[in-house]
Amino acid sequence: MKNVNKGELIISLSFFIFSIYFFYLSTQITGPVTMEIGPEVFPEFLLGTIMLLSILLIYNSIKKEIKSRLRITKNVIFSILFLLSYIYLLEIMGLIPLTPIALATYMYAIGIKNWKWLLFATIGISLVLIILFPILMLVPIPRGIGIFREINLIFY
Amino acid sequence: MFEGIIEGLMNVFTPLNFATLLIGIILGMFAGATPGVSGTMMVAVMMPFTYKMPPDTAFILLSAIYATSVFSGSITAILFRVPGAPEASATVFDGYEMTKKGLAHEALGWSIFSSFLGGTIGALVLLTLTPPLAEAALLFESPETFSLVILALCAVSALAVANPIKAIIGAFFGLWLSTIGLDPMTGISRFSFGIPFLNAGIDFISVVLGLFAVSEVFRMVQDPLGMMKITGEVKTVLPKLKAIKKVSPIYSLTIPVGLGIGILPGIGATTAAFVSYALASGKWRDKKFGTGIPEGIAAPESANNAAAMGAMIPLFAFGIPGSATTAILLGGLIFHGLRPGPLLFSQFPVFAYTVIFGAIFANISIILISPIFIRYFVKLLQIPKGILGPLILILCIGGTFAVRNNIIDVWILFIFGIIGYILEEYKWPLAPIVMGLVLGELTERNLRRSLLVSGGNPMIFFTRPISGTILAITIILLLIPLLSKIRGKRIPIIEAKE
Repeated sequence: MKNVNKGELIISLSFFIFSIYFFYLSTQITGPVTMEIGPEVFPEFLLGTIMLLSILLIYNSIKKEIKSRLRITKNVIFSILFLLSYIYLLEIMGLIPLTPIALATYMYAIGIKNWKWLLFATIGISLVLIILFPILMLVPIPRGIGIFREINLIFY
Repeated sequence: MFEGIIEGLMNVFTPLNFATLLIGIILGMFAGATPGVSGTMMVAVMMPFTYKMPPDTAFILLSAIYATSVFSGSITAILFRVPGAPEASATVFDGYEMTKKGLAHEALGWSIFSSFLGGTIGALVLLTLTPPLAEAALLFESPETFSLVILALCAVSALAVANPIKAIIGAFFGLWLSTIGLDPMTGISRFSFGIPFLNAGIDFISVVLGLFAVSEVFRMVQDPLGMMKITGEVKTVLPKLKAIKKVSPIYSLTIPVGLGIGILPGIGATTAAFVSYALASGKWRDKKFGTGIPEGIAAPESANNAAAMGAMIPLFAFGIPGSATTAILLGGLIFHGLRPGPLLFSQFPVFAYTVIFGAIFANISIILISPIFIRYFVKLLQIPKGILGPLILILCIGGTFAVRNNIIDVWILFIFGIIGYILEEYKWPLAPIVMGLVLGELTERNLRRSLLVSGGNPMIFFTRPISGTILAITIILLLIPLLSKIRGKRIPIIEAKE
């Protein structure tokens, strides 16, 4: 197992497990008996093929040495954390003050230390967001709850 | 038909459409020229903004972005040896060598002229070839349409990438994603886990933005302070007529090759550029390609722009996309309530011709606008990626939420961002997933209709002449990589992509 690329193996195994699980779910779908080909057949065919091909990939990833590696740098983790917290807090806090605070923290964390850039980008991007979506496109972006709702009502 | 052509032409010049065309041209040039921001990403990011626009205006914007982004990748390829878009990778060979010789202004001029020529001829072929092809496609019924979709998906998988198994799994995964929600034929819910919102299916914008934009931001922020350094003013000098005449034999080879490759589903402008460069350098060995000669820019730049227009031919004629970006365009058309394919030209001729003329003018604009654009764009390159990345993320979140006003779509965007990043790091192609998702409903509907007609007999796909021929071509396409492996030779198309 010295040359096995763990990432490749994990992806292939994930596809295999995914296809088995959803294949099982497909068998639970029942359509009208009069149909020649019911709603379960097409997904079953797709998932069955994915299952077979992922076995082939598992074999390949054990047999062949593949050089690619996943780069999970701290900036990728910061990006994931930013997205997770931003999406989660959007319904609670609305765009203001969430967007400037989250953006400034995120950009500082990934390495933008120049305060002029930080200030310009944070205010600029927040303004673009507010003007573009709730004001120009009339998108009902959440305004948050409690005090945050009051704050956001000032802006949009 | 002629009324549609005239009205389409006039429609491009209404104030709203013309202003949108100009915005699309600038956005496309910006996307293509900025390393890390691709034309595909820009089309995906702009898609949610088009929902409130009239369909013709929306698609003028998107097709202009698509057309011009293919050209502008060459700017940074020539000046910095960093292709702004994958399509410009082959331009690096001679483009940067010319810059090293102090001929950057000439290299940029050749790139502008070649892109203009390839793109405009490609767009004119799109205008003339698509309507008769669409008319022929009226003969297609469910079995033929199903076979054509299978051909497109297999071409993506078999020819476009180094590992066909990964591509087929990706395509099937995309097709499966399209089955989430209510089955259109029976109304039965599939894979929605009791969440009513998922009964409407997975929105393709969340998937596309996640796969192409969010995942790319994860890569961009790894070099947050990254920016290009430029000294002095950047000028462009267009080639003289005498020099163009000297290079014209190259164009007569590379533009048809680029167009042909573009029309084939799944093989895009990047491959067209490499194949054309390889063919031209093989045919004109005395020219010393790779040492910084205009022919080395003319070949890939004319071919990739012609290929980009060629990829729109199957989209408009059959409703089958020829590349990842055209797959996103197809998704957008469906969202606007339009079904590209044979009926588009008979039901919405003004729309179809407006978009095609928009693409023609976008290509013509390359020669008019890009010299000015380049002068100002090099200043924009001073924006660090650590600022550009968060801006793209915020636009993706807002854009995804705008489609159905539901936070679940934004979570789907997040999940597909991570999936896209992991898959690309391990060289999994993402285009087949998008093509599968966009074509899923069409595939299943035509498969089930065909089997309903034949009483469940799958031979219906093989016994009908057109369907049988398409499936025979599909089998040949699938066998090409296998045969080349057996013979121990790599086919140039796969070689180029790698």
